[in-house]
Amino acid sequence: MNDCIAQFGGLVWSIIRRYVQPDSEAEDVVQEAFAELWQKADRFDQSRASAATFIGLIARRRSIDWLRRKSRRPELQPLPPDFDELVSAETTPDSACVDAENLQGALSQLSSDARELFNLHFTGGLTHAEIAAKTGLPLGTIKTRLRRGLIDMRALLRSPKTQTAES
Amino acid sequence: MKPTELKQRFDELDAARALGDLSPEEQAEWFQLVETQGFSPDGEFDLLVAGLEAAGGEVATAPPAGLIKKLQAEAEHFMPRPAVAEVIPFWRHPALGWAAAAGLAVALTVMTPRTETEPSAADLRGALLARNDVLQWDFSGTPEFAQLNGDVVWQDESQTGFMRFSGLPANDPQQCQYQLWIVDPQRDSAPVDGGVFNIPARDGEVLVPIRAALGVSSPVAFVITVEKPGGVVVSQQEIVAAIAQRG
Repeated sequence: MNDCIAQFGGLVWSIIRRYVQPDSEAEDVVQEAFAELWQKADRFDQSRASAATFIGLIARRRSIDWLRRKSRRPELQPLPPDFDELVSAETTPDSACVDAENLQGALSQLSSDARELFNLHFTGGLTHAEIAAKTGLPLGTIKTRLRRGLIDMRALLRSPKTQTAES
Repeated sequence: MKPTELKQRFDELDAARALGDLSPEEQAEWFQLVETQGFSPDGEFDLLVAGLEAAGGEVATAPPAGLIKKLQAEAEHFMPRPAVAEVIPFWRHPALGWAAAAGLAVALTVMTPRTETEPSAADLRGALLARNDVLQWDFSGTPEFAQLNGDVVWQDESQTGFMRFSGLPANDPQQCQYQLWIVDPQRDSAPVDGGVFNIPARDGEVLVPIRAALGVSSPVAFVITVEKPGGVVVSQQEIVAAIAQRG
């Protein structure tokens, strides 16, 4: 467990700090995320995603749950599907393993414009407004391209050709 | 709008949901499509976003040293303990799946039957009650669980406690499980997950140890709910079985 904390602590901390501030609150959410991780670790299905993806999923869900608790109208913010729903109920024959290799393969097939936005948002950690300032693109265009890019990536990951070629 | 167009629109909104950039108007539209068209959120979007964030996490910032120490200390609460005959083993081993998947070298304590030298759950509860800084509250069953008798014993400093039940109906772990929630407003407005547990189909008293997922400092109530197998992160409290609270 200490090895797991050492390997993924930075990932969980970084994801949660994107959503939760101040740091004292982020620390509480990190503790909640690891508590959930220990409780649900035996349900991890490596055919669906890598360990890092599942841990990232828990970190995001906990962060969004925190945002909902802080919101005056939490009912308006959809909570991501529960961990158990993701690892069991929503598995389909088309579902691909979301690991680094398959993600990289799908990303490489997106347009260069979409790839750049994904890179700025996920690797660079920039908000939509920061991306707009950096690229000069309208905010609406950035949102639309990221959404379309995610839909395209899902289709690419479901494509047997993509999975065979890349994994 | 045609059904295929509605589905395309929902996909766009659901991708935005996973990306976390739905506007209030789009949130309302998302809920409307869920309710009127029967669409449901696609977890693959969430896995994709989590995977992309994890991939971006190669440049992750190291957490504060103090936080790492807290995480390590709390992880010890989830390590397997020797099985005790009187206790329902509700805490499944947490590290095995991750260890196998991530190739991590995690030292596991083997669950072993209780030996003569190990204290029973009843002994441990008795020792806890001997302290003068322990709370002991009776459980009250809700109307559907009116035949329930029991109490909770909890000690803040050691973060240990036990629940004692009789008359709590046996559950089928494949259908549902009981889950404990500890209400501690000084910590958070949301209750702390106290873990899931089962009640076996036999007469007599059942002792269940408490291992709070997070630190609890000033509990004001202990609530038992009925949840799906494995428990939930946030309970909707649709079925509340019992409550023990400060008198």
